[in-house]
Amino acid sequence: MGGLLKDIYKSRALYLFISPFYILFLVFSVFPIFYSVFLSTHKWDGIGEMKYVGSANFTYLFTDPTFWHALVNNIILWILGNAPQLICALIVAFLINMAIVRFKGFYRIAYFLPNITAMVAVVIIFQSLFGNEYGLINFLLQKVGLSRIEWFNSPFASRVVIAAMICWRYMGYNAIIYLSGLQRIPKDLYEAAELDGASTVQTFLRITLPMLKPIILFSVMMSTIGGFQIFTEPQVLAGTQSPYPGTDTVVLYMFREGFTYQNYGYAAAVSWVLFIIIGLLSVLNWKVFNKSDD
Amino acid sequence: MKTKSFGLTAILLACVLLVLTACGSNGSNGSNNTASGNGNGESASTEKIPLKLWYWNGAISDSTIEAAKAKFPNIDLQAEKLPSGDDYFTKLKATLVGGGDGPDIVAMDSWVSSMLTYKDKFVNLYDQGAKDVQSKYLDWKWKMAATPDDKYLIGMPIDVAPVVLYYRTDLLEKAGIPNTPDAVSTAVKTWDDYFALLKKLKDATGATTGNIADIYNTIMGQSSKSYFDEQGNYIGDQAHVKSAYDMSVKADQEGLTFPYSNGSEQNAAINNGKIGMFTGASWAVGDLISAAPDTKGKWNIAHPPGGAGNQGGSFFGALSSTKHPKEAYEVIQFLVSPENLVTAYKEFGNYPSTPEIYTSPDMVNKNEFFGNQDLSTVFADAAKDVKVAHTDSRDTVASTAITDALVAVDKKRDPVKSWQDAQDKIKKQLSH
Repeated sequence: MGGLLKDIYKSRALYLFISPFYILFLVFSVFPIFYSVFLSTHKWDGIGEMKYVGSANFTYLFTDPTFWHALVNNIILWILGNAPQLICALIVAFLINMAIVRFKGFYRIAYFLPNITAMVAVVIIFQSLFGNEYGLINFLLQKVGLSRIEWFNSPFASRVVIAAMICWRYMGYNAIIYLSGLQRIPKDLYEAAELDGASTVQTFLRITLPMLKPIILFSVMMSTIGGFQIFTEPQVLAGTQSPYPGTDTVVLYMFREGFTYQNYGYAAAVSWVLFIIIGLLSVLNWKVFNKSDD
Repeated sequence: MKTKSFGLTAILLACVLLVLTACGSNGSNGSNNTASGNGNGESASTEKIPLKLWYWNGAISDSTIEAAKAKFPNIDLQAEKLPSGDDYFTKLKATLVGGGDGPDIVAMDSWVSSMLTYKDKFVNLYDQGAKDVQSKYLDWKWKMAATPDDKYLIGMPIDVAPVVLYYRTDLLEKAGIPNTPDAVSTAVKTWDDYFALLKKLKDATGATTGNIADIYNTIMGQSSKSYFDEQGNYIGDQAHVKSAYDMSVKADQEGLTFPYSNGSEQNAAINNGKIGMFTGASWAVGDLISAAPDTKGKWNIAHPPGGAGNQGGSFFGALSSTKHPKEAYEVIQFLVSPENLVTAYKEFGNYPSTPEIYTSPDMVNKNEFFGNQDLSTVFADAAKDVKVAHTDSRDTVASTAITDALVAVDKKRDPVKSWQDAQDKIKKQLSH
């Protein structure tokens, strides 16, 4: 222990140099994390007295139908937004990686671009694209003789809009990650497969997929974490009328409880339950992927 | 080598100090702004009293703040513009809880009444002489920031937002409805009158009013009771709320409302004549002008159905943590003086809360967009005799649930069931 302190003292200039980050991290991240544990057992409106309520916040949470509703919605949004997206991303990465494709750099940038655009701007564009009365999509639907879809009036259609936004935004990001994984697969495996007369589909299923497993696990985990933190899309999409029916998520629920209804203690409890949900799902992902390993 | 590492250490140390002081300086300049800090080094500036003021864009005119700086040379007024809405409220609350070097003067929105519970956090402006100017302000507005016994005042009124009826003169003419402001005002005394008129308008032109929630919010804004009584009991399941709900449902079921949708949809509908009449606060003037450029000159305003109502308007108060309550009061009093409120009205349409200037020639507000109708005279009438309901910090719980219920009705849900569900939800939420 003394040795460690001595080491730190010896390289104090270096520690001093990295200290601003750690000080800010301590003040703005570590402290709030631990404080929220304390907060989750209290009832607090943000100004008045804090009242200790024990586990009442958690018991209430599990009996609140709105929470369950938000959770179910969230799972639907997560699957709808990520399952097709990850599959598309894999196919896109596979196509870009094929030897015959030219202008690889261009595709890489083009697919990645949506990921770095400002989220709120994207949501506002989608909002007007999918407008019930005056949206471009409905205009086109009517032009080709189909009937208009009232996107924001049915829970399912609203979910589709949000899933479309998630797909649009993260497909390229995941494709780039897959692409880097693909490029790591040794070429000789493919050459051997070719010699043995394997078709493209066979090569994909027997070589590419197994070799990509760690990368896929990473992207699935990241999408799980992201999927349970969906907030901006439904929030901005519906503006002051947030959320549209069918688009409530756990984070929106937490935000509403905290910053609209001023139940800060309860919102802290919700955030911890969300943490546990994401943790459990990550473990589940990991287990599922590792099982098929042997 | 040795000198090199010493130089490196010195640079690194300087960086750290810079970062740390950058964090700290925000908090500390409230109390010890020295003469050298103010630049000129004039002897007068050593005496300057620092006052920090928080407001959001549009709460008060920036030129008024400049005027205040000129008017009080002995005060170093540091006006900080913060993001409006919930962000502002959250930030203010964090300051109230956290203490420390917060602002001295703060702008507050209609939620000022919910701050009365924490009146100790604010300077009692009555102690500073606010009684002397009380008569200049609209009584109902003033009372929103005073305790029920009228002994403690935490804020002074800035603007009010009287609700009026916006309507398209050309569409009314097409439907054969007399379309002068006076004629419309007389024709729509009650909500039933309004719906009857809308029916005529819709049959002739296809135009409707705003969405189901707009109607509900306007009716609730006209009520003398809201969701909680003075003792904090929930009264949102009683007749006054139910009848507002039923009225809105009725309008919706008769097809008089525009489908519930996002703001840009509704703006497009206003621009292309799908919405021909709607009730809105005075600040909707600016929104309307930017939303519906194609309808310039075709709008007028009249008195709303159902009597006077108000939707918004802000206050200035001083935090009790201030070291200079007297000066803070002087600045506030100057900022909300009738002459300065006129400036804000001219600049961005915040309607003043001081009736004495309603008739002043400065207030005449003829806008081409409204066919040169003088809007001020209608606002002046609409701002009088507003009924103010008791507000409670839990109001949003109830209003959100009931609005959601109305939206569900708009999307073809059974209104009776929807109402019942909303009430169950509210009671469940209030139980924790």
